[in-house]
Amino acid sequence: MAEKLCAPFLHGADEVRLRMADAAAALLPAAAGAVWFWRWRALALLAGCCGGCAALEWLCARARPGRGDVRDGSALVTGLLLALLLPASCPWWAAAAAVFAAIVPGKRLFGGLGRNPLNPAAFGRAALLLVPALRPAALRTASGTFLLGYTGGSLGELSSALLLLGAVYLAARRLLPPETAVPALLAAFFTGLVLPGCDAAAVAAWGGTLLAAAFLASDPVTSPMRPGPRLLYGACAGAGCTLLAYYGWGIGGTACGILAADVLGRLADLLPPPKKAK
Amino acid sequence: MQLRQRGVRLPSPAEEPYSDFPEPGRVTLPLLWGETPLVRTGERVFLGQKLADGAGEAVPVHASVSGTVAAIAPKLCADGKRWPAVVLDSDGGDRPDPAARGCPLADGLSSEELFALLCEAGIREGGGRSLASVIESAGGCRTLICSAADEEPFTLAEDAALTAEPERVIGGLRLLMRLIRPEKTVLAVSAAQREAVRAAARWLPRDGGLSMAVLPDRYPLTDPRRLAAMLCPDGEGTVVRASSAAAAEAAVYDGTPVTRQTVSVNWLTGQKVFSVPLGTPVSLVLAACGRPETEAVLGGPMTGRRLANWNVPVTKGMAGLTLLAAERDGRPGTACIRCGRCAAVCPAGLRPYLAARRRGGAAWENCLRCGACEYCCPAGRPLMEDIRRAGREAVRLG
Repeated sequence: MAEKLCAPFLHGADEVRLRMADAAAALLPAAAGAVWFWRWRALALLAGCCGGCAALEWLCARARPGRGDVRDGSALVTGLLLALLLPASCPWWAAAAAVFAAIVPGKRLFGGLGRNPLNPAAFGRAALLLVPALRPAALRTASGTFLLGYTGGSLGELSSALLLLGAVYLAARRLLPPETAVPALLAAFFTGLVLPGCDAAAVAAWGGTLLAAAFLASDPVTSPMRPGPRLLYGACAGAGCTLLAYYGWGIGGTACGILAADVLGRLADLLPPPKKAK
Repeated sequence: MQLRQRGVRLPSPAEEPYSDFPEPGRVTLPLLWGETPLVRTGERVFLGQKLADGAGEAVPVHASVSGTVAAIAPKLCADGKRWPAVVLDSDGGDRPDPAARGCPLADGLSSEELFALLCEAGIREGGGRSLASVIESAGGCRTLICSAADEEPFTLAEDAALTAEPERVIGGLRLLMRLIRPEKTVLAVSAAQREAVRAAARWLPRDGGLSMAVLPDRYPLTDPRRLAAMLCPDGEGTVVRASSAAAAEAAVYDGTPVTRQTVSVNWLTGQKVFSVPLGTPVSLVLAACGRPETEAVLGGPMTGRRLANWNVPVTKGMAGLTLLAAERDGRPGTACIRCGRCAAVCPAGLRPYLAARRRGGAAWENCLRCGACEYCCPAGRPLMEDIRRAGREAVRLG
């Protein structure tokens, strides 16, 4: 690293690596809950996804240096998120395919951390929808409480209470932008209200909604940079995830909704800023 | 411009009293604005005696020690150029000029007489302007702002002036109020300056006209445009420094011109504040800290620039010096992660992330060059370099 030659010589404590460590820490309660419930299956899935993502990132960085490397910690967060989007019954080859899709076409082919327009974890999860056997059931067929101990879906869907705990931590570390998270939750709730036969409160408290609003949509790389487009992005993500999950493929629909919002958000960022009244 | 709420909270060092400083044996007083020398080599001079004077932006240059004129020759200055300078050998006595006389009864002076006294005092404002020209251009201005906040963290010249001599600052402000006749005068301090606020509150007059505004501790605070946007109803005001007000008071009541400069030297984790005679070599000031760092920066850590040769004199307004270790670890940078922090803190409401993409065009003219964006960038992007380059390109493209 070259020596810094011009001001400022003072730098704040904010650093990408610390942000990634905080994001990983915020996902730990949900991961711990999954391990407690599914034991070694969940542990193997979590460890496999994290290790696979980190190893693949390291390999890609060696093959093509200068585009970020594994030490920034982003691959770890992608792996954790991806594992939480997969069900405990997921076969190992499917998890490996998801890891590959997340890191190679989802991130490295676009140029690595910071240049990927689509959320890598959501991309990896959505790629598995190509195999009909791996499509989760639509959310409208789900039954049971989402708050604690819902076992009909992915690891992350187990408990929205544990996810909320992580979200509170993320907010306390100022890494949860309220201008995306609040519209996302509200949009999910109101979409649930509009849909026929849908329990809006249950949809808003579903683990998939919380994963989308607090963890997938709060990724700064794939969300817009200005507050205005971020509001739009959050609302689109909330509504899109709910629609696709409710009628489509559960947590897989959530991933698709995030990808759609990523594209829309990128386009919204290109809009000229509003003219300020003098 | 959204100059009000933004900015970034920087580490605020503890307020420091002055440290002892060994008096220099030789001082170099450069004539940076084309002043004409009034003394000859070998002549004996008193402390505070006028050595040179000129017209326009020039202000009188006074002897900062008593002794003899050793030479009048070009000397290297902090800008890297050689300027004509008066070199004095100190006799160590600091004998004051017997001809200098203050006006303890200055309250009876006319504005013209008061203005003439201030012109003779050799006071320089921020940006190198003379206090006299600031007063002249302030005609019809409705708000006078006295900025007692320092430009950067670890540079405590203004803070030290207000903490040590609040009565001087407020007395000097009253003189300036008589000359400028503003409707409102505000003493602006940062919320981090607790000692200074306490000291000034005791001396603030009760009769109105002069009030204190405690501003949120958000760097950058001292940009004149930002201060005016925060404190003036019409967004336009005249800004003077607290140290200038104190110098005006001393010049008018005691007849002592500006001969010393408050310099704070920091090493990013702490600082020392010295009051040194003008013309003291920077190397002597840095040596007085006894620090192991080997690289020096002229100014504070946020906007300063590197000083290659330390053998240059301290000049008016040189309030801060920064010491850096020669072996500095760069930050592990990544690509921009599009978090938008730089735009969120930019005091001018710009979007610094566009500079890296060579976009933003003419908007970079409004950049305050404060470095707040780069300070808070988690990816460690060199945003200030990007902005400078984008600004240059915008100028080139017209």
